[in-house]
Amino acid sequence: MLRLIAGLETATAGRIEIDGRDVTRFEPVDRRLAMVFQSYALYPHMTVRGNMAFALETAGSPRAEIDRRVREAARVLKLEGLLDRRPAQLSGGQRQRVAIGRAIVREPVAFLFDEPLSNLDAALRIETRQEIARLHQQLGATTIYVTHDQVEAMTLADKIVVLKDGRVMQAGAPMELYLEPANEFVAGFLGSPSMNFLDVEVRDVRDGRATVANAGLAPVEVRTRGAQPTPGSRARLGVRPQNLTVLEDVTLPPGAGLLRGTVELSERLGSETVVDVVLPDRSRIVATLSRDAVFLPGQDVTLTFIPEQAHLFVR
Amino acid sequence: MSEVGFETLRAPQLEGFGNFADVLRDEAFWDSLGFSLRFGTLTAVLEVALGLFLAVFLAPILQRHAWLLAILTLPMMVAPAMMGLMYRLVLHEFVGPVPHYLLAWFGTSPAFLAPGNVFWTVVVIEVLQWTPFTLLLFHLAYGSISGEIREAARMDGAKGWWMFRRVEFPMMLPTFGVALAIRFIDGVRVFDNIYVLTGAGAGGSTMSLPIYIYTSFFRGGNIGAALAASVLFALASFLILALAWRFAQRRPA
Amino acid sequence: MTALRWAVLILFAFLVNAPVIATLATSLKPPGEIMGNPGSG
Repeated sequence: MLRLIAGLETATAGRIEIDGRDVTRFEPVDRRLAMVFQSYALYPHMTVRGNMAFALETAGSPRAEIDRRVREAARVLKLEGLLDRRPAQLSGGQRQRVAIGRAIVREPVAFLFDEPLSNLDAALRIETRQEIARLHQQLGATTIYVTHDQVEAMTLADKIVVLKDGRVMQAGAPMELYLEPANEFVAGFLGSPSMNFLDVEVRDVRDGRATVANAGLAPVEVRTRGAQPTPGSRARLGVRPQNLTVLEDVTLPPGAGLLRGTVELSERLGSETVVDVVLPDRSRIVATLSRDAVFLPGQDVTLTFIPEQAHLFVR
Repeated sequence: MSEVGFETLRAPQLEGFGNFADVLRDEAFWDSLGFSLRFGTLTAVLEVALGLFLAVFLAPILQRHAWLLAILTLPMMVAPAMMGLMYRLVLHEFVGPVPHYLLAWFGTSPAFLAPGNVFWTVVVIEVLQWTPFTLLLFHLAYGSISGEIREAARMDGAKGWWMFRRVEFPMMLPTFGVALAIRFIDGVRVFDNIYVLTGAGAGGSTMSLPIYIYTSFFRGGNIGAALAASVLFALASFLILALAWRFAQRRPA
Repeated sequence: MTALRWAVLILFAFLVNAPVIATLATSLKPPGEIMGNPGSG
């Protein structure tokens, strides 16, 4: 996908437009895009300065201009002291910054990031993610960022496009996708731990609301979105782990969803307790509960959720 | 000259540096050394240049049809002595196919082994046999440049000659140095194909240093001089190689 | 360009293997002919 936009691969169908210009047949460099590769793809035989200056030298920019832009990029990325080093002498995070610097000096109309953090270790990943967010604010340039990491997607994006097998699943602002996922794939992708899905039977459908139930779930009336389920069919009910509470904790609001099951595993993380529960139909769900919740494996538990926070997906 | 012959091999007289002095005074020694150095340098440069060009130019084909490399590298399988023998047949004035067709098509055929031409003939033969080797080295080096680096360079606007000069060639520089050194070493010590083809002729004009050593050992029976020449050859090789590797080390790739 | 590459490849393959090909051709001739005229056709 990103390679199509960049022009490294040729589109077999359709058109690619940038700022209203059809660039489908353009060479990569003529699209005025800059890409940050997963492996950084720095030129190993050039210094940091050489890496950043290469595109400008290729374009035939005057020396003074090249020098000015490289200096500026090095300042923004805090690479000033490293300009004469070679990539082999840099740490992973520094290489990442050089790769970004190489993109910045070209002053492109848009940046393309191809999973730039996947080669970094966990601690560095968070740090670099925040660095990229800061840079993005500072530069204000359009950025297309490809990632498999839902946290990166949620934290960095103004707009997320979820793709599956080359098809757009849903596009919108991060919170919009989180709160109103259009389908099971999007719902399962965003949020951690990921959303629980229950196989339910649709009992009744009426004015955009459906009553659903299964062996472990007492009949509950939930909103339907988009396609209407037919009574008697099977559907999937999605409930986020954070939206589940233990029955004893709250006074039961009218019409709340009720789930009965057996605790299989309870993990106290300090800030919260994550409980794995097995339902009568042998499906598993995860609930994120308050840190004071203490459960023993084998203990029966009843969980509740507010129907408004549940998502019904038609098969 | 020397006191060491086959008769006195078992009880040689210590000559001091007499053998060395004899060798250094022998004009044929200097001529053969000059030939070896010229031959080694010229063939190494030609083989590396040609191999590099072909590896890059043919890369689109060779990457798709790797089996073609088997055909191109076939000459490497032939023993150099056999190669000399084959060319002796192919270039033969009266019965060789090359003079035959040159005469038939152009009405004239050069005397390949005449004094004025023989140096170039042996150079071309050596280059034809060993360019496949440098081609193979450069083919591997070219193929091992990561695809993302090429793509990054394309995004940066590099293509064609600029891409080669600024990105691909610098990344192949270590291979370039190694290929040059290996072919130079192999060229300087050239022996069998020339010996079989020309027998160091015409008039000693293709006498390489190893051939000089060989002939003074077996034909002249001057074992002392031959060994002194070998020692000098080893020393000279060591000096040249030490300088070459030191030079290679000073510019890390 | 691809045609040119193929042409160069075939020419080079022929040149480096010329003595092998010639030897092969000669080896296929009857002994009498080799003595008479091993080179031609």
